[in-house]
Amino acid sequence: MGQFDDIIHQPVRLKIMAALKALPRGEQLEFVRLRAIVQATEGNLGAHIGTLEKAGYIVVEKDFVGKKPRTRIAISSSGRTAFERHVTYLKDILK
Amino acid sequence: MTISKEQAKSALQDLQQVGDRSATLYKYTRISPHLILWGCVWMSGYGLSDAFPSQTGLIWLIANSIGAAISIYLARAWFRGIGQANWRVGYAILSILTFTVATVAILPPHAGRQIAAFIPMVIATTYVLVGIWHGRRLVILGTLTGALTLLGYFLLYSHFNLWMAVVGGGALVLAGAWLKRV
Repeated sequence: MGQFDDIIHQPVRLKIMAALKALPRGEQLEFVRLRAIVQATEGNLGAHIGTLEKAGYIVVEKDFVGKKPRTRIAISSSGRTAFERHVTYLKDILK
Repeated sequence: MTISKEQAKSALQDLQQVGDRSATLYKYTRISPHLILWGCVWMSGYGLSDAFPSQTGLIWLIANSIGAAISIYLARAWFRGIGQANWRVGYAILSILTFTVATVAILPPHAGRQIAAFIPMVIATTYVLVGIWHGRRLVILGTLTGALTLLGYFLLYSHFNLWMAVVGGGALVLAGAWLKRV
């Protein structure tokens, strides 16, 4: 059943969720790659990732590869469910 | 909050577009290390075949075995979550191998170089077919690999192995690096 989600509906966050949902379960996307897919600035993307993380919709993992910091993001199960409900809501509008 | 039909339609289109791009780039990153690996296999296989033509069979047996073993190792995480779609990939690879072996059996080559050109042509065709469904970059890679193979076979026949080692293998390595880029 569809349900509007105010957090997900923001355009950049919607794109972030769509990009993460397209990956197989448990797979992560690097911040740099996500930024290129979503086509957002670093600061803007970082802020929206923070919002989605706070809502429990995504899981952010930070580590180092050598001396370079790396941020990887994955969709959580509650994020997947919320996203699917929101998409169903949008599809229902078109019916 | 009220969303109009137009807004909903536009949001769904955005989702589809971003999802497709993300899925394609994900596939590219999974394929990339395999291309770099097989580029190295081609470089060593064709290069050594050029240096030691009488040992070509043994060279390719060793090179392909090492390549296949490393490929399976690289794909281990993917195989862990094996599902119906991934089994389809396995069956597709098996079909291509069977086709290659059957074709060589029906139309036995007169010279070793025929088989050395035929197999890359089968691989190039596979890239193009996979690319039609999964991403334009694979179509470009397949077309380039096929063209380079034909060019080497028809225009540089006496240096074909060397050509395939440097240009064919090099193209696969570069294509692997290219697929990693966003």
